[in-house]
Amino acid sequence: MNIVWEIIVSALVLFGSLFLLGAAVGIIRFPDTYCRMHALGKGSTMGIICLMLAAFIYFLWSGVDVCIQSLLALFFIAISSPIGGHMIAKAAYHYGVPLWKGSVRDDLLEDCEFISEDKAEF
Amino acid sequence: MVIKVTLILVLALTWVALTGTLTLPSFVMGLLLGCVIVHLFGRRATKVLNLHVHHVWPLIQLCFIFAYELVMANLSVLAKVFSPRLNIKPGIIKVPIDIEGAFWITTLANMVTLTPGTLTVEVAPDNKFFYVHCLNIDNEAQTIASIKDTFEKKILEVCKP
Repeated sequence: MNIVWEIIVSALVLFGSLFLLGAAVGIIRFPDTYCRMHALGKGSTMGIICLMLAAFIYFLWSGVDVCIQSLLALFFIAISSPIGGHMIAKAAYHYGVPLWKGSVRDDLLEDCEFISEDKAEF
Repeated sequence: MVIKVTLILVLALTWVALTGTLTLPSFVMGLLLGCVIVHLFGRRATKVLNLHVHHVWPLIQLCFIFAYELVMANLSVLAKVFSPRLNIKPGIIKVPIDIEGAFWITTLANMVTLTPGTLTVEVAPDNKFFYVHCLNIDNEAQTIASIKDTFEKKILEVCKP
């Protein structure tokens, strides 16, 4: 493993950690559930993709099985993480979690007849 | 039939890769699991995967557009998170969509969730509208246009027969 690859791996790990830190800080700083899901859904996906790519490159010379596993982990997380963010936001809306008071508009409120049926069950 | 056999083989190879042991028993185990999964969900999968050769190039383009937008989304969220004053103007807007089919609507919703400042909250029951939560809705027309022009156009190219 020569110096160029080491620099690439280090940069990937660094940026991955930065994205994950951004997601964590976003959860604290953003005002309501929906804005927090922005930070969480995007930041954690990108952070884990960067870390897995770093693992892939790092283990490319020592063992193929770890490489393939990290690629698969990357793929599955990239598919499933946005679904998680979407479902949490949707569940929050159906449960009646209000938007932040600084929110500008809410188109969903106007045609939410199909949601009010769900709300009755809670 | 060919698609089903290919699916079983892909699932078996995925199983071998996940367990990390390239031996005959693990491959046979993967084949068995693949048979079960394809037997349970195969009909739906073959309905979705009618890929032809002329779909491959739009699919590759879609992947690259997606990767670019993902990086941009993360940089913009990072900039918002670490900016000293929180200048966000969140809200939920209604975006009309044209594509059909549960699989492609799911794909589009996922991509919208991973692009800058947008998050799919709800899909209308008739599959005609997305309700998208935006971090900044200064220019609503531009947001809708970016969803429709970049992703939906490409997905339409990929999923047309």
